[in-house]
Amino acid sequence: MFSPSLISMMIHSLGPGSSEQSLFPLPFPISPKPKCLVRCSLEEIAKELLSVIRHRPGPWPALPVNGRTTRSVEELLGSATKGAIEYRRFETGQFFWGRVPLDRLSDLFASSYAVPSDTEYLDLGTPVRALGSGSTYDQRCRALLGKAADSPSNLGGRPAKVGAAIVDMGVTSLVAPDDYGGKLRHAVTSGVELSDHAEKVLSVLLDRLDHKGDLKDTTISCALVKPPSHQIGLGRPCFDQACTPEVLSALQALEPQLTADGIPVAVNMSLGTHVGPHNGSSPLEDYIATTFVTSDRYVVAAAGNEGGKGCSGKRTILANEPEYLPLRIAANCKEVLVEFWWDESSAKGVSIDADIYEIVGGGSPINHGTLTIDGSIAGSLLTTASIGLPGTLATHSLFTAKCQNNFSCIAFALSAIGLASALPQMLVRFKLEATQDVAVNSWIVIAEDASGVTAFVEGGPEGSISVPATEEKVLSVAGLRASGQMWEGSSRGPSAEYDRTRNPTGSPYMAHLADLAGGEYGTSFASPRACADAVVTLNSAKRSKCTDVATLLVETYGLKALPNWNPRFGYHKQKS
Amino acid sequence: MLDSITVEEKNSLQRAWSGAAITESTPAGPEKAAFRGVNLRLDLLKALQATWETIKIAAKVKLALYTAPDLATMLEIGVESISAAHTILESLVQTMRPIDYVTYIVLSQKPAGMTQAELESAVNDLLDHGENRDELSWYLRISADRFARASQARQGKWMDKVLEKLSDVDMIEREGDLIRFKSRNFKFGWQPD
Repeated sequence: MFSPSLISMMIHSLGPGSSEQSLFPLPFPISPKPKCLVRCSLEEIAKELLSVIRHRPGPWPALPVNGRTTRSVEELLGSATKGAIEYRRFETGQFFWGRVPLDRLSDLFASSYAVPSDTEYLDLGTPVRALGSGSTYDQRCRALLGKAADSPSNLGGRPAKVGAAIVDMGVTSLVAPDDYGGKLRHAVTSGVELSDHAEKVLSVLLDRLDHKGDLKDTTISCALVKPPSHQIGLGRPCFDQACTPEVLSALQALEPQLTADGIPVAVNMSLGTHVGPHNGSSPLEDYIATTFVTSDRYVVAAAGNEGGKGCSGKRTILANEPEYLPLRIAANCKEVLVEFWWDESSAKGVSIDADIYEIVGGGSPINHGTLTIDGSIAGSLLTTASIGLPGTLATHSLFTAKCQNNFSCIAFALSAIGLASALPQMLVRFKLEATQDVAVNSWIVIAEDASGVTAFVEGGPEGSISVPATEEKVLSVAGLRASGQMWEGSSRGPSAEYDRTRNPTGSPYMAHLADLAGGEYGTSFASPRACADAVVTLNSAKRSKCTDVATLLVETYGLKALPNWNPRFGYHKQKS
Repeated sequence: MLDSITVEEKNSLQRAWSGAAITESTPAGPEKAAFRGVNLRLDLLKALQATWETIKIAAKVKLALYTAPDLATMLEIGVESISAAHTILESLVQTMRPIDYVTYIVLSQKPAGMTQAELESAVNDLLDHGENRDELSWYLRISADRFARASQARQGKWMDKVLEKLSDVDMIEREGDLIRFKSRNFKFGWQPD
């Protein structure tokens, strides 16, 4: 199964062309009687994608993709993607990720669009963001790393008893990353160096370990996330940044190093993506839970900042009572992609109307069209022609029932086509209805402008929690002020409170100090502190009592048992 | 060209347009500068009915009166009501979905109301078999492109959606099975605060 977002971006990534032949659905002329244009089946989409690919010259853009399959990745993607795709086996199949050329992806889609999600699931690689801001902490890292242990195999040095690692943002470099005299053991060894964000996160981790007196026993590893080396296609700057496939590559590089060390380790991830169902089932979370975490290896992740406020929205819908969720689109966006997720373990009868307005000169909104997306179009793509939009706009929307386990998904995409170089200032007013009570979460997946101008007008803070922090095998860490009050910018999870009668997801799991220095805050800096605390536990006799993140938390902070969970700070506040 | 319009038709159009807009008394003083020099209250329903009547006659005699003053001159009435009607229609057509606008103007032809089925049929008829497209486009201020988009929007239960939207903005009212055009008055001119 291909996720709705991936299919939408495949169609949108066909790219600019003449108005006559530019965009899907090509074979459907606009006629006065377009009665047949209500929807396209997935089969029709596959055929048309292949048709466009065959009749237009390449090169084709490469889309960031992460997926899981019980089939052979080599057979799936063929030699054309050799070197561009990485994969890793697990018990019943393989995870794979990378940037796949659109033509190859279309071939795969044509042959496997009907494969169920438990057999195969391909998702769009979504942008990741660092959960703090940038400055130089290079000298601090150098001083502290001098105190760190060497690798466990370095018997001539000071072999480590325990490990700590960071997975963080890198910046492109022509030289190898600085290893600080061999003390920082890079898993990704070329083409990248520490970003300012990574230096900060590392310095917080080292400071904490040094303060606790465990740095001398700890070897420090680092896996830097490589930014893409090139844009994937003209006019697609939204992918000109690290996405989840690059994060998976960093984890993949780190894993054998940690395995070879053979010592307990805690891995910090102060980065994440806000996109996904947030129930632990996205490919990134799935990979971490299934193949990365072991009995002695823990992942500690920043729960997320609210810097992205407005990029998520949530509505708890009462049966047959419409709810509204407006999305403001800034001028000059080329394309916007929004996902809606909800728990469909029992039929909820969700439908969404997307009412599309253009805002001209701050005046009255012009209502261009209304797109209704509901279960009647499950597995189908609604086309532009079906709602009579102006020739400069295209929308493609896909409803997928039971997209991931019990979660259903709607993807809504809007883009500029033909002579339009970008979307005008717009407002999309989503009207959400359901036949049963249900909570629907939504996320802006793609929007070029990074300033937050494209946002849900009434987007709440709930969705700011990040993936992989929502995976239950990950210790997710919210931010705290030294006073013990929550740092106001910390995520207000859980983002995926789909069913209020169920137990919370446990994200965030705890809160830790979020300040760096000089007034800088971020869950990026809370997470490495919690990671260092976990390393201290793993370097002690308490380690034998730790079997999962819950027992790790109890043992690390001397709790008698898990207290009641709080959606703001989890199970525990660590004030110092 | 005038000879091609009968006296009855001319009188009918005169009455229709004159009744669509009422000139209001203007306050004294220089501030009274208003819509083309007068203050008007436009009844949208009557203006649309006058427009439909004009389209019918203009199409019949193939009048090429594509400016408001031409029409006013022919009918020997003031140009204000025609210009005001065009202003309102342009405003509506620019802000409404084309299919909503077309439905709204079709409904104006039957002040007593129409059932949903009748209305849907009438809109389909206009979009699929509508003759006199040039006249329709000009008098109703809707371009051929918007006509095409209105046509494309007829998917699924499109009329339900149209009626929902028109109800939301208080442009129709329902009584039993009947759906009625909800008329509005628009004032043009100087108004004291």
